[in-house]
Amino acid sequence: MQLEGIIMTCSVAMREHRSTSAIFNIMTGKKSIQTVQDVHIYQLGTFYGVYKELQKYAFDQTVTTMMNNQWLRQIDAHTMTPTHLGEKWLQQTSLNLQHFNGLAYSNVEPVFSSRLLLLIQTLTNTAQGHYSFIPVEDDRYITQWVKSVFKQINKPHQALKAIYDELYDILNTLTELEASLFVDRLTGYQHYGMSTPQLAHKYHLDIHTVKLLLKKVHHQIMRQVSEGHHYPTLSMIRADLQQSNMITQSAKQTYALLKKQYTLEQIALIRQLKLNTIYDHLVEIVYVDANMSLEPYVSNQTEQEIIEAIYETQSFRLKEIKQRVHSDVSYFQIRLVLAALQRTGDINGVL
Amino acid sequence: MVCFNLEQELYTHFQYETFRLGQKTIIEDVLNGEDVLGILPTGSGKSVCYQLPAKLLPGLTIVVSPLISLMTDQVKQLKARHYTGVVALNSFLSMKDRQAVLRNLSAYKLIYISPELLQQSHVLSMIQQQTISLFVVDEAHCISQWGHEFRPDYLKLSAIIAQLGHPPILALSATATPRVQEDIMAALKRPHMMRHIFPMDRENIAFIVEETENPQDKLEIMTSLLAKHHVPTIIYFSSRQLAEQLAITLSQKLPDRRIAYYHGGMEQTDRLLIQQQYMTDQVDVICCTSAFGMGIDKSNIRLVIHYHFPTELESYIQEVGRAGRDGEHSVALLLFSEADIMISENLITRELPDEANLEGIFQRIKQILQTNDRESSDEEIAALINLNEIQWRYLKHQLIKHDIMNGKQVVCDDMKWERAREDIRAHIVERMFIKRRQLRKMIAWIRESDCLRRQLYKHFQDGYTEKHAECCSNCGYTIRDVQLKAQILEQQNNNWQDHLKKLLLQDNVYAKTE
Repeated sequence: MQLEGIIMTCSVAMREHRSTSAIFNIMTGKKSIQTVQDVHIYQLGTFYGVYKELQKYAFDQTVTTMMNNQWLRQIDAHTMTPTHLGEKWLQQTSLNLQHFNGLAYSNVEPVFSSRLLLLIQTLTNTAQGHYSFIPVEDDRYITQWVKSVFKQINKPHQALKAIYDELYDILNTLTELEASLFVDRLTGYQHYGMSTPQLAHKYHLDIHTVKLLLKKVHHQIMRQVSEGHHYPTLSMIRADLQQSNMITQSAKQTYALLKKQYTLEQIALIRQLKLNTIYDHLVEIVYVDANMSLEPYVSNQTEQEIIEAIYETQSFRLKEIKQRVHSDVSYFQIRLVLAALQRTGDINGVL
Repeated sequence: MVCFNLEQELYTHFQYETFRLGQKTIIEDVLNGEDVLGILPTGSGKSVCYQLPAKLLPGLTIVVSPLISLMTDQVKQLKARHYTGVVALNSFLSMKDRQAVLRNLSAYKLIYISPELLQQSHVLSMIQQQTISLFVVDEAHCISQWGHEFRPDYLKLSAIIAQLGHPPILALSATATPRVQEDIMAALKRPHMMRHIFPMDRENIAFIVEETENPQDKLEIMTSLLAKHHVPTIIYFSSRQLAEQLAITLSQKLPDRRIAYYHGGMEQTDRLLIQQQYMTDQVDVICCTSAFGMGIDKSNIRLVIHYHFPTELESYIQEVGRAGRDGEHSVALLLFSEADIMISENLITRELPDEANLEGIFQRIKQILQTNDRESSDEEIAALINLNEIQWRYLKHQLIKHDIMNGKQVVCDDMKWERAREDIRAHIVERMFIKRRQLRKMIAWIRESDCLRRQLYKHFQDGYTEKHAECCSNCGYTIRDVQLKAQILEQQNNNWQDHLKKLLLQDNVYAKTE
């Protein structure tokens, strides 16, 4: 029910303002400025990229089932809105969705969990003097990392004890189901972990729920590891994995040029991109960089005018805002102001 | 003559004490630089015939293998044995990784490569700079039009071998009739290969064909058989969906058995986990499609059940050949019902595009490919043309071969299209003819009244091992007579705390109980 829960939560946040595919784009971590904006405006960062391998047909299927359950109501071909029944279901079901943290972890989660699983398989085998086994991970970067770490470990028994203590501590704060799924998935000496369908069968869950719960467990482990100071072994696994706040790679390059004091027009020339694309990047940069000044692009007076229009319309819809400001105010300027408000949190009281 | 102590080398590189039947004579001929054709039954350790020479010969050994999954499995297993200097080159490897391997070829002793990749000129020119000690053609029956898995790419191997300076060849197969053996030698342009043919007849396997009325019958037979015999089992299905469904149904009926399913539609990690669980006896029964079994070397499989029969005898021999590799008595049970014939015929037609509709199909392909500027996946294109993925992949391969397609680009020359279409039509007709004939042979065997063992192997070997007891259902052996050696069970875990402790602290390492 995790997938339904996330779709419902997103629907409640966005209502009929955005199409259902916006939810799909958030969950699969689409790297477009529209999705970046949605994530910030509707505060759905927790779900950003949490289910990258989700197939569109599976998503559509779930949405259809939710419509059949009368949790969602169709507005037009592309848009749904939550029903009273749907919202009630969401409130009454404890899904613990707040433990996802996609914006912070979705990109590094696969690497972190693969490293952890392969390290455990390697240590449990070598501790038994068993040096030949079929690894559960064969990605070159993962195996190389495990090899390099393994070389530094003198006593596999001790490392295993440390991993045990740390995992036990963290798993204890999770639900029984979450902890059980995580442990059943582990591969050790002469013991291979359970596949996703096997877990689904054992715990009477659907496949989506198994996958999402496992990801959520990984997010929680990573969060507790970065907050606490008493998880040295698990910290080592994620030490070099820093997720950039900037979602698109392209925006990062623009950001680098901006820091060198190039104008937006110059950057467009250098990067051989349309000016509008550079505008998109700038909006994204404003979301994440608190020190970014809007001054060169929006005068104080215009900024004030836009803010007032936002309060008047009670809406984040660019078109409606645009109608209430001077005609020479551009969409780009409105988006910049919206992004800045969102970043500082000033906007939270608006709607 | 070579003077290696081969037993010693076998132990050094593989930790085996002795050679299996056929391995040593083949290896000796290979080390003496002979061209060798080796026909060895599945599970007899064909691959050691080149993996060991690769270590002992001065230059590089190249293995052409048709299946990427087979290659990567083999490399994984070799690495697990600490066999170094081996790599698999195929289209799954990123361009960057591929380049890295090619630039560093001298660091390897054994290279697995797909026939497609070997045809690329830059790949070939890099390999040409090395001394090639041995050129291995694995699954060599793929070179023959009469083989059950004909691969057009294999026909180009003789030209490649010439470009590599005619190194010694080792051609290997598990299923090659005398006719296919002739084809292999002709296509490789080496008519005088040393032939080493070893019988595939497995006398420890008893064959039972059981007529059933309907699926319910099949389920009841399987349930009662599995309830009585707690042994490692494979059940083959012709569809992924049925494999999944029956795995669930059987688990409900037999709650104390650990039953899993496996097919090509599953995620890579899940496939690996299930496969390894089966290897480590964590799973007793696998419900699967023909995707399961390649590269699996489990010695104690006792029971191979065919819920559906395969579309050719060669596949059947390969699949039942996975039973009883440790030499213990094992059973191959085929559940047959008249309705299955329809299923098999449908399966065959689904493997190739419909020849009668080829004009329409070509028109759609032209339309779609010429207007398509999206990065469409094969899956999407297939759906747009209204073909299944196997049919589209076949056509795509043919279009590339006829220079109609290059990457995602297609040529606009109408004449060329028309010529290609008629060529492909002829090819489809011929392939269909072969497939239908194979199917008829399979069905004829099922309906055979003579000894099933003799009839099964007569196409592939001269004699067969006479067997009196536990032979086949035509020689008086029935399901009621089945007696199989029981299996050990792994302990189950209750809660995550105990499981985690056992797994990581190992104070009570997965004790197996009798």
